[in-house]
Amino acid sequence: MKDQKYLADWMEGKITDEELEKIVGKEAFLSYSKIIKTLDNWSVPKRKNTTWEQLLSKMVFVKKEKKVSLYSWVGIAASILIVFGLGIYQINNVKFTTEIAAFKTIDLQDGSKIYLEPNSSIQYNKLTYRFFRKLKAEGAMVFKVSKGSPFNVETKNGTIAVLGTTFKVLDRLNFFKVACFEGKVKVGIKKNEFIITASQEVDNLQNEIKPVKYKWNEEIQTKYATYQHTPLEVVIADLEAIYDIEISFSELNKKMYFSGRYSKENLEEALLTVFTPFHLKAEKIQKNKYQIEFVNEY
Amino acid sequence: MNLCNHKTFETVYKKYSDGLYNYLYYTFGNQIEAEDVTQNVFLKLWERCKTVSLENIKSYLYTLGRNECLNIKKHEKVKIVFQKQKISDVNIESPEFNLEKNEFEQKLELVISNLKDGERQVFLMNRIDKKKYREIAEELNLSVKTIEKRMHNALVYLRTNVKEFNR
Repeated sequence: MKDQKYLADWMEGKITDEELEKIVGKEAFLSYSKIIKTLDNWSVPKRKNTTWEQLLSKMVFVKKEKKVSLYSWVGIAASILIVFGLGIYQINNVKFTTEIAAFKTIDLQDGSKIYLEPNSSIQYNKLTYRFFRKLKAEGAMVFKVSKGSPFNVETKNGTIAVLGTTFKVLDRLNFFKVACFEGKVKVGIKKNEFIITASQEVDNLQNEIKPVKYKWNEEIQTKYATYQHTPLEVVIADLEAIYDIEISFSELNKKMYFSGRYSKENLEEALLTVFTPFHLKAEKIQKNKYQIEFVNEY
Repeated sequence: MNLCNHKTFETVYKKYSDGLYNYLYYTFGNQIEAEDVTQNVFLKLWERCKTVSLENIKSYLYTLGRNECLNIKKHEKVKIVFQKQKISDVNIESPEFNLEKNEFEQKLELVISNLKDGERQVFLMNRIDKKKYREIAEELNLSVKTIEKRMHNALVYLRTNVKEFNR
């Protein structure tokens, strides 16, 4: 009797009414039927307080509490500070540039001066300059540095570190030269460091880079541009910048170096001064355009 | 398909919450308790949405429901009540018939309330929710054989006890 399940079978339609009646008798069958039929008209009372919307409101609450942790807030605050800080840093970034044939004098907040020659630029951050005197330079310029914390100049071809001094930087093409007029200058070229003193200069051309004597006691922003053993193409680049001209040359000996000075105020004189020693001549072909030619000597 | 997605969760809720609620109503015979537990079960499911796979979500829901029931202190005597469909054809029914019918229904409700919890749950899930034995077995993690036994025993019990009331 215990393992009987014919009622279960009947309720699931596995055995018919007649079959059940045969098993249990008519009276029992009728009462089973009555119970089942009564239940068929019943249903569970409708729910009142568990709609999806009600659940959703509680879910979102639970989720929020979990997700926005203290760390997130710290992160958000840090991000805002970083963005704000970067903004301030950017606002304080300044750049001075000279066009061709233009000169500019820049007074820095610590009393240092920079004399920018044509087609050159200097860039630094006003905010950090207070603590680290660090600048980026390109072109040609003379620095007159006030005493104080280390003063650093970066160019694409080398670096310069000084304390208080006057020096000139020439950074054109791949050529890099530093000449010191006063005090001491530490120059970094290709991982090597050199200390040059007054009347010395160093450039990155020699095979064995070393400071050499600089005999031109160049004054700041004189009428003359002065060079010592400088590649002719660099001198030409300077000439182009100072006089706003274009100089073309077809064959130029790579081993031509210019030592001397030329006028920054008289173009004809300057061209003669630079090119005559090399048996070259600058021939004017158009306005502001010159071509270098060989001079045949008899 | 990610359960932690609101839309997916809504689908799951709309699909299974009725069945779960009914099961809990059969257990407690108390609408408020059944609704509370239903909501708690789905909130728990939401908390664990990352760890539950959609495949066995159905039996997981009933397990959560069962555990919640255990947490609730022993409930009072079950007093289950159902909504009854009104039979529209008035002509056939004499007042006596209606009276007799009401009496019978009340008795049947009482006797159902007195069934063992396990039998009552299974019997009503089949008779009211019209779920197949296999489906019930899956949801409650029981064998079909157990379901059949409970169905059989439940009906025997109901008939015996309703008859006693009649006398």
